[in-house]
Amino acid sequence: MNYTKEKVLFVKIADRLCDDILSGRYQDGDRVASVRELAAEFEVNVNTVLRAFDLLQRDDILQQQRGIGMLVARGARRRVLAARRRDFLQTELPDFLRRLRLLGMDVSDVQRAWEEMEA
Amino acid sequence: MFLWMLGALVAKTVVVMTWDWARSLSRSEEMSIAQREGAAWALQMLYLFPAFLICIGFWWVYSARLFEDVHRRASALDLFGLPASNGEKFLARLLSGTVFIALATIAAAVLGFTFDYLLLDRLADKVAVGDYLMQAARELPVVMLFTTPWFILPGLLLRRGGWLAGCVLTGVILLVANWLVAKDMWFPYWYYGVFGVLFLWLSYRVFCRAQAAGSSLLNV
Amino acid sequence: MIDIKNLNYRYRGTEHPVFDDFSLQLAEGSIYGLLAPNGVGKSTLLCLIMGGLLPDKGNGGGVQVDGFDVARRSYEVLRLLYLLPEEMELPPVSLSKYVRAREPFYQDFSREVLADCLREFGLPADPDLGTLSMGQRKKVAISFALATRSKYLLLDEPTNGLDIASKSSFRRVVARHVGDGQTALLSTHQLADVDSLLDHVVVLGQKSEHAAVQLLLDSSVADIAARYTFELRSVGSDTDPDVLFCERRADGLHTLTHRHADDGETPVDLELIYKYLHKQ
Repeated sequence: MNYTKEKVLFVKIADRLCDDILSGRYQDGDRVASVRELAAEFEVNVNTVLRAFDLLQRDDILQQQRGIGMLVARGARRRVLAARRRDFLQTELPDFLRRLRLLGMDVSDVQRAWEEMEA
Repeated sequence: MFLWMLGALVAKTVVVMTWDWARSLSRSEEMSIAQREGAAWALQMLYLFPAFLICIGFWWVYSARLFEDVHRRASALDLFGLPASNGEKFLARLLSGTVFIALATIAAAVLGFTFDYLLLDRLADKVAVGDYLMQAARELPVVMLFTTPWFILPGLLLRRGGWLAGCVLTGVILLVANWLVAKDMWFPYWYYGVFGVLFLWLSYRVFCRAQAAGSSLLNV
Repeated sequence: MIDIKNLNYRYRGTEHPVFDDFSLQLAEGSIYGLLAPNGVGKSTLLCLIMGGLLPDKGNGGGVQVDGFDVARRSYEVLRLLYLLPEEMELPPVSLSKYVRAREPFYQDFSREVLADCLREFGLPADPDLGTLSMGQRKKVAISFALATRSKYLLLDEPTNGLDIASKSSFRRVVARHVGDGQTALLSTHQLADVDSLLDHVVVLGQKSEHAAVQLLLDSSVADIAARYTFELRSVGSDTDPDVLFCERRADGLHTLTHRHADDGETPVDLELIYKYLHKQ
């Protein structure tokens, strides 16, 4: 998944479907809602949903099964998690670390905040 | 609504009064033939002639307004957009008017015959008084039938005053008829029939070219 | 396909034609947005497409739908089209009576679609049309339009008069019920209401006040995304040489530039394209 300044609509839809996979709403092997139903839910054109499906198929998150429909691929959850971690490490984290430095803070501040959250 | 009820009440009073008067007259032995004829004429002018005019009047206004929805944008779009051919829509509208003309014809016939057999006979000793007007009453349905297209066309062309244009048109046609064609008959059927068919066809053509533009005159 | 070829049309009683040799083709199976400023002739065009208005006879131009000349108003062509006008007259009867009267004219009419749309809009299953408010009447009209399943649905300012929740419902029912074989043409000047639904965009404009309507853009949204880049740039970028058009908004400077082949795709901002086209 690419990171661009603002994501194109179909990429956003793909992200929402990945959210559903991470949250457990869709388990591996579950059938995803129909293209039309998703288009109605997100209030977008059917083609936008189709492009999202294409993207997710290419990344092995979804799988088209003849006669059944679009299924969540085996290991999809794992893959989504891995991809999102990769994204985070490549873009958000470096930004975050740079800001830490700018503000004159360091990792120990982060550690303290983390411990407070865990408590 | 209230006006209609008041009018019906007035009409009923008038009819009852004249009926009583006619019956009292018919019982008196001293009236001359001339007096009876005079009374018969008076009754016709009061009762039959206005009824005749009202029937015709309503029918002409109704015919002019048969396609009135063509002049309003929203209703015109609705009519033109309906999946049916022009011919089907035109014919359906004409036939819907037929129910009205059938009812009006029956009403006119009842009117005429009632007057003839119940009132005039009693009064004028079966003297053929007011044949002219009586014939008119019997002719009423025929008049309505033939004059219909002369009102449908102006009603299609004009947004307002279609009935008025129809009256003018009728007057012109009658004048031309009585001057050119038949100097003895006042209603040569074939002549008016031709005009009727012509105007009906013209109305159909106008309908086919009508638009949902909401203007006072349509482009043809 | 809706084939508008060399269309000429002049309003009654005016000198200047609204459409002068105007041509446009609308393919099947897409959701089109028809964008134009107010008063330019969106409604007129829609009426011309469905046969409510007839083109001026001139160079033989007119509108053909799937090969049929619309001006003939035959059953074959009228059953393919449905126009939802901006203002519609509904008789003061119950909806079921209205449906029963009109259903036979529309072969593919679906009561299921009607029921689903009414439910989505929060309307009762069989309202009395005479007692509805304007907004409710509009929603019933939209539901009926979608229920006809006509091949070409022409919706004139469908979101006008709808509250925010209803606009959302509108998008949902359009997304759900405009089938793969159907074409919808949404004319609007409220772009934000419908832009997520559009496959294809048609922009109309006028050079000057009495000039004829011109076709400023006829393109799929995908094509626009491929040809242009939409960015949010920092202050001062309005003088960048590659900027075709820019607009300062509350969140910054929105710019329109040509897209280079290897650039990533950016979300299409139809409003920006529209303003860019009308600037010239």
